[in-house]
Amino acid sequence: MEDKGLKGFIYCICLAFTAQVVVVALIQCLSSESVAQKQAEISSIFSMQGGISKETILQFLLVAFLTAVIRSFFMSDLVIKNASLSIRMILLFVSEIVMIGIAVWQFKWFHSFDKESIIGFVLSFSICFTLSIILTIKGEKKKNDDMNEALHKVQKSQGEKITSGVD
Amino acid sequence: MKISIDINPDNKETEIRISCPSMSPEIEKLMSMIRVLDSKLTVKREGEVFLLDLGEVLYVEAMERKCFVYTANAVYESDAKMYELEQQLAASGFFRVSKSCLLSLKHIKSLRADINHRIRITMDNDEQLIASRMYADELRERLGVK
Repeated sequence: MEDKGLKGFIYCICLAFTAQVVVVALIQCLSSESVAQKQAEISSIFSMQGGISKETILQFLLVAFLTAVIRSFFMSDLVIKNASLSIRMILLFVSEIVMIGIAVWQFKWFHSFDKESIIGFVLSFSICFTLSIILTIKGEKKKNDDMNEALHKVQKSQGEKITSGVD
Repeated sequence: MKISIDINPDNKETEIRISCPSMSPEIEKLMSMIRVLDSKLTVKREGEVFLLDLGEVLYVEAMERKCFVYTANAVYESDAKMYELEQQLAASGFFRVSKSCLLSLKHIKSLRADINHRIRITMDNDEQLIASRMYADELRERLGVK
């Protein structure tokens, strides 16, 4: 993906929006009628009458737009000039969680709160979040270590070449 | 010693050829002088002309149609164009990291992966430069980590 300018920004909105719609549509398609009814009681997202409501679509679009704004804030050097990829990822994830939390509260996506669902959600989200951060940090460290090791090898061989040339 | 110069627009590059019956101390001295001249960069600063040792150069940056040569302690200006410097310095381990920057591989202190597939390069003097996405890929290839 080319992250340059407006094109990258629009691409990010489309990607986030499509992902939301596809996930909701898939859950709805795979759910039995009784499960779908229960889902509709818990969340307005699943209150479908012949499809996802216009209101929910617009809410998804707004969330996609905000996702793109947050992404371009943390994953470009417009504001943050010098930060590691891991720090940027952590800040990005935390900001996205806060934004989605506000969206859930404002749009009343889960108007009927169920203790078990909330615990399940927090637990699974925390595990995924921690794992993805650990993998990002480890991946970044490995990438940097590999690059620096290769650099020092090349520098060493170049130094030897120059020395033998002088002799 | 006979000196002949062949000035011809068809000559693609400057070539110095020495014809001699055998190696002598004079020829060796001549060769080392040519080598010294070849590893120097003509630059200027505050109206003074300097012959800069290539080993001292950290990086070259093009700004507003001018080329600036950076060492650990000073900045000089070069009359040469960026592509000319790139050709001249390639054999000495210099390579492009962006449209406007050419740097010496041996003066890189460390590399760090950055956003959008770029590479953040820390030089020996702790200055940081960015290898743009396209040139970062070339750098990875050069290092054999792609």
